[in-house]
Amino acid sequence: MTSVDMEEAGVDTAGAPLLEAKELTRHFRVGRGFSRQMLHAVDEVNFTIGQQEIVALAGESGSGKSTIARLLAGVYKPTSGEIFYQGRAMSTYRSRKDQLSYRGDVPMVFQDPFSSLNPAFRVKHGVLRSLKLHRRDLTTKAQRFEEAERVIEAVGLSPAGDVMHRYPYELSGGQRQRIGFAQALAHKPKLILADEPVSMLDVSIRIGLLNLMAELRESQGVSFLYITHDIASARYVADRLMIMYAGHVVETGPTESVLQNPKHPYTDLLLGAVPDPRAPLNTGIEGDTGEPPKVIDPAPGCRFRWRCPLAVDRCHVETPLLRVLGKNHQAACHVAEPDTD
Amino acid sequence: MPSLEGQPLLEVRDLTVEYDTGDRPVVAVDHVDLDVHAGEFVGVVGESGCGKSTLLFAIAQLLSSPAAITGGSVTFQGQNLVTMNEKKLSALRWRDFSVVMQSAMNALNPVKSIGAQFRDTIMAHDEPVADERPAEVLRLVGIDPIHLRSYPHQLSGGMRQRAMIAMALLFTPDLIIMDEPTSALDVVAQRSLMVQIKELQKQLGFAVIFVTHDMSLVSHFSDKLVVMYAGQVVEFGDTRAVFDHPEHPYSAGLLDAFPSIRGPKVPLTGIPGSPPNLADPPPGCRFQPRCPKAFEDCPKIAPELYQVGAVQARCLLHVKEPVRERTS
Repeated sequence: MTSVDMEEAGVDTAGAPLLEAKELTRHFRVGRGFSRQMLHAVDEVNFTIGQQEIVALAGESGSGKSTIARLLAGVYKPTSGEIFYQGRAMSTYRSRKDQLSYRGDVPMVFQDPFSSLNPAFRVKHGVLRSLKLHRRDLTTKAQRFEEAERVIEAVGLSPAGDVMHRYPYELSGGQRQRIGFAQALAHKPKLILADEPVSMLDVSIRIGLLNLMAELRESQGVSFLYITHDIASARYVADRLMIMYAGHVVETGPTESVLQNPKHPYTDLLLGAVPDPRAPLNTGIEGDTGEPPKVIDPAPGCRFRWRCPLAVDRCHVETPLLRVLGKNHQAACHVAEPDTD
Repeated sequence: MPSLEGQPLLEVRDLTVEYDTGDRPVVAVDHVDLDVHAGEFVGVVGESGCGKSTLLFAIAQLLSSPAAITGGSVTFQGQNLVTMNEKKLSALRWRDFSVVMQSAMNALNPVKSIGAQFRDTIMAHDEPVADERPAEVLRLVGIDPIHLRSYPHQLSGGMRQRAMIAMALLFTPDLIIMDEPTSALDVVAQRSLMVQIKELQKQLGFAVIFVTHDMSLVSHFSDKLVVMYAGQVVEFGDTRAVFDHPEHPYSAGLLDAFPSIRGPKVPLTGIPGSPPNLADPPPGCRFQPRCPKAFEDCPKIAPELYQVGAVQARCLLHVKEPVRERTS
């Protein structure tokens, strides 16, 4: 096995997954009485996240990516299916102590750093609260202060002692988002759910935060679920890429494999739409109006079939399941061809 | 009024906009020059707070207190908009130049149908407009005219943004000013909207000023590119020339700030630090505290725009002849 193969097989060598989702489903009720319908936000999704792994979840808005983050964070309860964290089913986390420990292990970083920090409190407030709630090993105030300084330094803000005493309005967007990461780090997390952490930031600041994620993975040993609609940034940090469309995972695999050799026509469409000044203009998708469907009481069949250039009769009657089409590379498409070698 | 022969459609000279903040005015747009010729697509890029939206509002004379134009001129079709009175301006607006705002959700009236908003716009002008014009412009942007009866909330984000563009096309203006029209959209919708704007431009021949923070977005669509930093133009030239050989370290940094989906994976650094506080800009070159190529002169001398090959760059690395003597 060459080193590249080893890297691509990273999922297998990492041992037992940190978190596993099995047939994860979440429906929302829309309307009431006779007009009651079900919106299928996430439908029968399976995936794993390994130790120290960065998994990117990409898709258009409304594809269900944020719903998955909220299911994993325990904000929503799944309609059916189960999440296993370190081998234990999440539905068995009943007591307050269990829930607290789970939430400490799997914190979330939010999209908008301008509204996710309380403007009335200094930066230290959020970090110290996290420490007080989740870190029973730190018994004194001095210890907590020391730890707060450590996590703020860890996200690249220094001098930490100075930053801690500032108010959010004194910080730039990039610095605020770093505080978001510091608050998550204070829990000593195993997995950080980062829901579009850079989409509200300026282009010149984004890369710094992506680098921070990669750094924290190494120095703190955390895994990330990186939710984004920017595939280029997913390629930059993630080991594995999952593409979602209308509540289904339509393609998953090692990032390079998915991007260089996309199997699902939707992945093709997404890749073609990424603006890239280094490449010639791709005008192959002009006919596409770019509207993802709302999945209300769906009939069987591929959900991409109305936009798909390759759709065949079978796509209208049978929902495609994920099939292995390459090394660790799966796609849910009736038409996609497996790797020949 | 037809544009004067050989003259640019829009000539911005020495335009300065200040925000009066009480103690010290904040100069958000600092002596900006910009030419837009008929049918040209000009991209304006920069970080938030660099003054790019303020520049647009100043060109369209839409600034409201505490922002005010404190110097310079905006000459559109031979007339100076800065000194023009409100009555003449409102006749010009929408007929000769129109504006597409950043977020279509806030720019459209939620309690009026699309058709009613189009009629409002038409009635605000004395210009005769054919009855079928609203349906025609909607068809132009790829929306079924049946949606004239729809309300904004019944349309998707992409359709709302298209409806805004349709509205901007009602009188077939010579210039359309766009302020990040695609920033609320997904990549796929964004790409299809950009392709459509470009198509319409080819078909109808209007000029576009397109403001965005995402440099890669305009790379394939704009003819000219203006890079702004801290209220100043730091680089200006043909889009292709700027992309191929960025002469200002800031443009080079912006170009290196986003990862590519093709080619080798390279570690990127972005641009360290954050943009300066415009109430108290750093001495000398404003980019100097973040610049990887800064040398001892940079904090002392404020650079002018210098001609470097095909582009203009505001950087002391290229000191030769200033492009233009400062008139003030």
